[in-house]
Amino acid sequence: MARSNISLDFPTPDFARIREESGSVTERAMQSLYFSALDTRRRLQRIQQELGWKSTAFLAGNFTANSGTWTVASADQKQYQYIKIGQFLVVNFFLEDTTTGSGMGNQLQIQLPKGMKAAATTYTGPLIVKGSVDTEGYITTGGTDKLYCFRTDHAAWPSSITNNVDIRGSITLAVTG
Amino acid sequence: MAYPVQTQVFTVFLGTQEGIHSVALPAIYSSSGSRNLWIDKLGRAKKIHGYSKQNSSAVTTNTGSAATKLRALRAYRQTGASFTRQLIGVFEAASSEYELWYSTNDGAAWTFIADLGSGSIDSIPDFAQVDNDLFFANGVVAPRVWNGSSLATAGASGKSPTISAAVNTASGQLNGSYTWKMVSVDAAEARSAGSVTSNVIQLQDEQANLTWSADSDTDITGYELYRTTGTGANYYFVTFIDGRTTTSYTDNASDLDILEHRLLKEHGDAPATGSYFCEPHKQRLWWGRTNTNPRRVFWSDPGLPDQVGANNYLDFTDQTSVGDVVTGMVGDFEGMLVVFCERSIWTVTGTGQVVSDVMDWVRTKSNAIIGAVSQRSIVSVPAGAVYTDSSGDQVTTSRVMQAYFTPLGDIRIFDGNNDIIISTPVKETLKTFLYANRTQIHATHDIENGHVVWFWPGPTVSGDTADCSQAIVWNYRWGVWYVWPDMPMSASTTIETSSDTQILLTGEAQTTKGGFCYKFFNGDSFDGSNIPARWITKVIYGTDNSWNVRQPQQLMSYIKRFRWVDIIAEAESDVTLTVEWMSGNSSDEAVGRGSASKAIEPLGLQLITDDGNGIQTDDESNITIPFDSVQTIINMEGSNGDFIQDVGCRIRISDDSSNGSWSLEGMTIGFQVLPGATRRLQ
Repeated sequence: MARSNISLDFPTPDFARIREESGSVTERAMQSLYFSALDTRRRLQRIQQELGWKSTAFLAGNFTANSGTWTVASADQKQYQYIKIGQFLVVNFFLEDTTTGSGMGNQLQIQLPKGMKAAATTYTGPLIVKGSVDTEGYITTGGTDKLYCFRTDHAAWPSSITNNVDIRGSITLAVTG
Repeated sequence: MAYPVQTQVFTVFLGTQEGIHSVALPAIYSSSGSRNLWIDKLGRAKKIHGYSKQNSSAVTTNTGSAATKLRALRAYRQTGASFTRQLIGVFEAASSEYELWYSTNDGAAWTFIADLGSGSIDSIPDFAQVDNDLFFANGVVAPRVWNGSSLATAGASGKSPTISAAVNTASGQLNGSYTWKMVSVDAAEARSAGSVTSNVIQLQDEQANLTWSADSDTDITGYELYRTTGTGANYYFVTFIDGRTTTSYTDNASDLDILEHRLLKEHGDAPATGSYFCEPHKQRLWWGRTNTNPRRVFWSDPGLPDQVGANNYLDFTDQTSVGDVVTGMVGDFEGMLVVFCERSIWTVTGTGQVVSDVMDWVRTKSNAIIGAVSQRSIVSVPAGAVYTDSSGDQVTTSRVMQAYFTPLGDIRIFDGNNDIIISTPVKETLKTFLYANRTQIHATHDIENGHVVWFWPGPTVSGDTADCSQAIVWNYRWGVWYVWPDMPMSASTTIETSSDTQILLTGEAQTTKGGFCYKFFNGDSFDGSNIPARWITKVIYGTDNSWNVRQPQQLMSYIKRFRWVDIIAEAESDVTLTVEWMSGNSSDEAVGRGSASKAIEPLGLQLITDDGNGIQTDDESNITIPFDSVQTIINMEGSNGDFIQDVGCRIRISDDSSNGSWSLEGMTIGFQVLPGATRRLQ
């Protein structure tokens, strides 16, 4: 592989002319200022990049349950977004008209985006449940690459419901990388 | 009616000035043809001293005892509780060996180090010392390093394990083309040299599975993992992997996360085999040019001169420099690295710091319209150096500049952005340089004498004599130039000894003579051969005697009869000067219309009687000549009793001997202006 470090990607002052007309001390000062400005610009760009909501592409395998089958169709994923700044992650999702199979357990599991893993087991976020069951719940982490959705009473999720389990929620957590 | 005799007086003898016609040239310059002179501290044209062998027997190759020439010289000084001084020499045979030798007594005796093979013959080596390590590159072999006692291939030893990377199709944060490097770390946080770069893998929202073999060094306690960003070339710390025996890791760290981490500073890659140049600059060693990448220069990691990142390079290429090659580098010049190509000069400013994945090196093509022929032809000259511009006016440099020999056959100075021709006074001489052998040109800065000597190949196109055979000298204190046409030297350097801050040494360029190291300026001969020295005036037109009312005017419009010349000279020993006079339009080598041999009485020599015994005073003190110099009036009468009758004349003062140096202090020419005989067509 041959990839050079490209010196600059930003309109560069004519340092040679600065040196010629004002001397090398001025040139070095200008160069330092220029790179400071470039660094600031890059950091702002990165912050802008990080602060934008990123959508997670639908993948059926992202949605599972501790018992039974939870089916989320592509059209059901109304929203699955995240913002990651360093180790800080915010996840926001809205899954509507999902389907459950027989023998459901008390956990609906959602794969964290991009293979990220929660840094601890103790993060918590609110969960709203509508459809066949209108109730409340919470989201928690398990130190793994999944989110775990529980009803508040830890009851099992309703079984054999077709296109009528709606959950929405958000959670803020730390990830490992 | 007797025509009155007028005189023209010369009190200063400066150097050669070939760039200005005799009509406009001040008479203190020689218009051409002078040789083997320099200027002494009193501004007098003086015959140079000679050189003599340091090693009494020629060095022959370690294998096969073949005759050699001394291709390169380099001083090496190891510092510690005491100094270890060595002189490194590269001796090459005509077709077989290319050997490194060293000397601990300034070239008097040599010890063999290594033979780098016949493939290196005719290659010009470059050296750079960092700490106590002397690095060597010659454009053919893998760079070497010498530590005063042993030679090794340059490059880090004890490298960290190499990573093998594979795509992990699980959803991940990696997007782009990635490579990894690993650095083994021990319990004291000492880092090993970085690993070989991993294979490249390309990922789209995926992860990477990394595997390696455990470091065999049991002191290692873990590994620092470094990775590029998806589109970058710098290696950033990803994570620390605890445990020497851990041999796998799944990387899913996003680019944005690692950008703020430590940059890899222990790349571990050796400088490229076939690197031509090595030059220190800003705590790094810069490795320049290979045959594959002739305009590419790599920088080493700071403080690790033999560790070079494979992606850490600058290419000195734009639309106009395709086909050009790097020919030399000068570091730490006004805070810049100056990269000389054959046809352009570039500067690199900055610190090398990486800011937001941008390397702080600014590469700028200067305004210079031509580059340098060779690394060894580039010399830093101090501020206050004097040269004459093309109109003959003296100019003083305001700061340190780089003087260099160009492919156009001139010498220029580079101020960081512009080039200025300074060799106009020797332009006719330099026109004859052998362009095909331009890479052999080398220069030595004789700081004590305030001059720079460029050794260059004369017009002979084959054999030994196609190597450097002549020299021109720029005395930057006086701004004058001299021609030394008898200098078969293929290497030169200055060294410091325990008793002398500077000794100038050179290397014999002809294998027929053998591998000798010479000491300058030593003795009265060129290693036993006569030194043919001479001063030739420009065309002297005579001046009127009106200096009490205005600047004397040159009498170009009148025919004159030149009657006598009165020379004041000083010699260090018995010297006989030949004084010849020629008509005004004579060439440098023209047969004189008349000549005279004049012995200069030695200073301080005891007077002797006719039978050769010394004359003493009553208390047995020697009786010597009390004068610093001796005046000798020469009647410019030819063998047929005639005098030169012309608008001008030239005087040639010379000797071709091993008798010692002499200097010209003053000269007066007596002439008669012939009325009615005015200028005629040339």
